[in-house]
Amino acid sequence: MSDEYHRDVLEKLTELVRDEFLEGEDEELTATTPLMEWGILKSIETTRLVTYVRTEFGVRVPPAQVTTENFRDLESIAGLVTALRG
Amino acid sequence: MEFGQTVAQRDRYQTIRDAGEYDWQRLGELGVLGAAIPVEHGGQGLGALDTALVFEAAGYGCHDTGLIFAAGAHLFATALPIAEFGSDSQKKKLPALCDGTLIGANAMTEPDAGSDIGALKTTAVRKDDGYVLNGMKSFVSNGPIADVYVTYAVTDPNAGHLGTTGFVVDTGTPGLVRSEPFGKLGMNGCAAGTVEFRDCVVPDDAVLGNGSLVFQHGMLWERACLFAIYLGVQDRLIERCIRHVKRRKQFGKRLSTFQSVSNRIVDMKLRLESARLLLYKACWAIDQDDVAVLPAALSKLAVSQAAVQTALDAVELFGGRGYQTDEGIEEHLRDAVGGLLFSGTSDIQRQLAALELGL
Repeated sequence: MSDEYHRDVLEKLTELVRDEFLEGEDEELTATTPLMEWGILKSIETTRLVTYVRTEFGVRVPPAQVTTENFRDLESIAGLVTALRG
Repeated sequence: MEFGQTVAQRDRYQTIRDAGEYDWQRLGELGVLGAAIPVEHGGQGLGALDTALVFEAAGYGCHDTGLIFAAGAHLFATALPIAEFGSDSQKKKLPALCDGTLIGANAMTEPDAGSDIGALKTTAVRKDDGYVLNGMKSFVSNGPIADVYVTYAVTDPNAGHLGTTGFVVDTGTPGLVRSEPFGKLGMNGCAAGTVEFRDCVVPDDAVLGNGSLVFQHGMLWERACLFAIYLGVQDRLIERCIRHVKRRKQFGKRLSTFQSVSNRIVDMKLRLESARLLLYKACWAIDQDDVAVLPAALSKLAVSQAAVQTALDAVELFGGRGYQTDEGIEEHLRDAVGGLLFSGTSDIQRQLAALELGL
């Protein structure tokens, strides 16, 4: 169940980043693409992503959890959402 | 959610509103400077809504709005981040920040970075047991007179806005260079200037925490609570306008009998009360540990815009006297304009609100 949830979160987050942040230009986007390093997640995109997680998955990300480790790539973010869901 | 003030809230409001004389030390004695700081660190231990009422009362009672704004910058962007994120040794500064012995300043804004913390140019490079800060902060409220600065610098250039760190730096630290106060449109009771870090070495213990986290926390409280100052100011200004239009006559009739005049005052009141409810809701959301970004952005927009329009209305109601500087009406307009800018411009608030709406 948790693995299935994780996969679903990862898929939806990938869709969000591909469609909204990269406007479809996602040829090199993978679950481990370094989002901060590549400049994909700036402060506004991070805010959008946190809001999306809250509305789409009902998971509130506490500000203290918005760290470079947790937001390194899509895999890390999906892991955070899965963990916060409990 | 309950409406109405408790006896304690009302007493506190009246004590601050009717204090008569205000200066920095008096604001410390009244509990304004440490309103939201925990009691064990010398503060009043108030939540966001109670803190907003404190600033609303001070905004009404103290005619030097810049002084109360300086107190807000001191509390919300310096003392409160130290209370929330600071180390034990950093927290030792809090009692003196609460009683007014120390003055705090938030050094964030740079020539190319206002609300966008990811655009900061100031750097903090690791060296021995500390960091070396280099960079220019271009608009620092309380900057020319502060004893303690909370500032922000890039520590990990590869991590974007999350690669910034907040620091607590004392005045007198070698390499911290501050300017004289510069001139500005309003809020003249609050000295503002530049702060530059030139190879400024700070110890590890100066680290406050992740820059983005510390900054967003302070901004949320500022947007919600600090703007309560403008509620108090507008209450006072509307009362003055009512007294004026009931006394002054034109064409043999009191101004208040002209519907265009009375309607204007009703609109001022409607604008104020609508903004007040939004601000209380934002503070309530903070107190409930609810997501407060949207209500705080809407509240900040409503209050700041109401303050400008109401001040403009007051100038029109007073006519030539409202335009003269010795009457004390036009200064409300000059003081209100800054509210459209600090804690994030109106455009930034709309951007935040749009993001929260999923746009």
